[in-house]
Amino acid sequence: MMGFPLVYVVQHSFFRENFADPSAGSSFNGVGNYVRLIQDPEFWLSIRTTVLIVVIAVSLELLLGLGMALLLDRVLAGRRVAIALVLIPSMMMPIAVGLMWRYMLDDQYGMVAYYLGKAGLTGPNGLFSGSILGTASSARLAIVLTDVWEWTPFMALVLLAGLLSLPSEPHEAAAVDGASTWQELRLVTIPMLRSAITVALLIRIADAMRLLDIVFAMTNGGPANATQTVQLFSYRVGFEQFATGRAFAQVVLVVSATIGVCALIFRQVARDEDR
Amino acid sequence: MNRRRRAGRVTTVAAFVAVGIFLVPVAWTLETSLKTKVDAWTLPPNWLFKPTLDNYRAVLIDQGFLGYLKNSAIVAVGSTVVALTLGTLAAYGLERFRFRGRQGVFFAFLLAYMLPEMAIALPIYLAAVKLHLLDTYAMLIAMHATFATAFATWMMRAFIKEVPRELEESAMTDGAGRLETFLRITLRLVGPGLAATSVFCLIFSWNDFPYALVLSTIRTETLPVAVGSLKTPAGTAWGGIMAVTLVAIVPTVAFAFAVQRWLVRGLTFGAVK
Repeated sequence: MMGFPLVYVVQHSFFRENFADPSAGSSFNGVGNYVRLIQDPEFWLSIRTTVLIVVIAVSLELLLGLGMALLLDRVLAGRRVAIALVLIPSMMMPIAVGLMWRYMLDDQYGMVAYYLGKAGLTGPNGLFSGSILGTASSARLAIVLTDVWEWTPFMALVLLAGLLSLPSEPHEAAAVDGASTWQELRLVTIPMLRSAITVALLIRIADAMRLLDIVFAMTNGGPANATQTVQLFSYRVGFEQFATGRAFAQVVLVVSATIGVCALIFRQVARDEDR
Repeated sequence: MNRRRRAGRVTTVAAFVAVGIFLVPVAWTLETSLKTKVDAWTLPPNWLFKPTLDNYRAVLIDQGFLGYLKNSAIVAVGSTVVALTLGTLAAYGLERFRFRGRQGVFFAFLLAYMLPEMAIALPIYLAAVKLHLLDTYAMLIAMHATFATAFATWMMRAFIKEVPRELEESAMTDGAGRLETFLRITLRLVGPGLAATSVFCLIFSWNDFPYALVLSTIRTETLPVAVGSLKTPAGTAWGGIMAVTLVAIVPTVAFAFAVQRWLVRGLTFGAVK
């Protein structure tokens, strides 16, 4: 199920083909598809957009997730309930998450948009003029924040599991030595959490790199491709333009990048397993 | 000591406030789903309104969402059964036997799960067209099962690893065969693992949008695709969309609660307990 498509893709990425127009046939095109792709500004824009979203969203998720994990670690009662509740966003259907936020950010009916306007953040004199999802910068920000909302709980939960598995002696030693809370966090807790942080980060990065559902629901890549991620671009080239040869060339590049990230995850996981 | 206890109480309150903030959008969704169209379009939001279940009736019955729910359920259960069977067997083999290329198999499974969907969707779509399998349950089940199997193998391996080899060995000394030992000893001991893994497979299939978008069109259209097609521009019936959204998330959230103990392990491929 996985080997066949990959071989097929690599082979056909060297041909000029269009599925919607079989009469044109298939002709060998060498690296033509790759050249065309590399020269396509839309492709580079989609990569830039994706990297931007991944970097900002995942960093925010790590910070907020760590904060939330530290809070949940110190909760006196009801931790299970709190975990169960906070995990709802990460278990939700991503396409539904996108629609939900689209509604809340809608300029005509959305409550978040309304209150942001009241607070003066949006609107003619605000930070963002124009509609939130219709303006490039605010639409990108909206997608980042939606991703943060959806996945911070995941981050928090993985880091919390890491925190709960830590031995308590180093913390006691730090307290005896008179370390401040901040010193204890920076010098004791975070270093010991390193492997949990690495696993959580790598999984989130691999996941965010293929961001599609919430973009599809919120902006469909707009305005003017400002939020078109790599996956959405793939979808468009393959299933809207049916330019299969070009789509395959892109797939080869994207898959190579994924193999790289997976190799990192794998090394990390395998190392933890062997300890 | 008193000060520390007070600090603990403050943290507890802070933690629950943080949790509450994360749930505000879900509460809003629930609120909108109970409003009439006029109420849903009113700004500033009016908090005192007469709740109605009309939206639920409209989407589930009039717009046929019960049918999409059924399609989603068939695909989710079908792919989970396949994935759990294959994944458990693969995990057992990979965990209990040492052979060349073992690490390679693990890597391939991880990669399969992490690949961008659109990277494989196109060739799979073309193959489905040639095989006349487009818009069939079998095709979508096979697709979901492929990725769920990869995931199930990783997760079941972590559980099988914890079954002491000595137990299996003593069963075999007593004359039980390898298969009998697997069925009667190992499988029983990893029961909770099987439950947790199947929940993750179900959630994956239930929430999947990209593969379903490409492979299911009319007869087998699943819930995420139907939900996605609701995003028409102006004049949208938001109350109905919010109702569907809530219906769609109830099963996954409920399942996640049920296996809370193994959640982290599932979310990290068994890397973090």
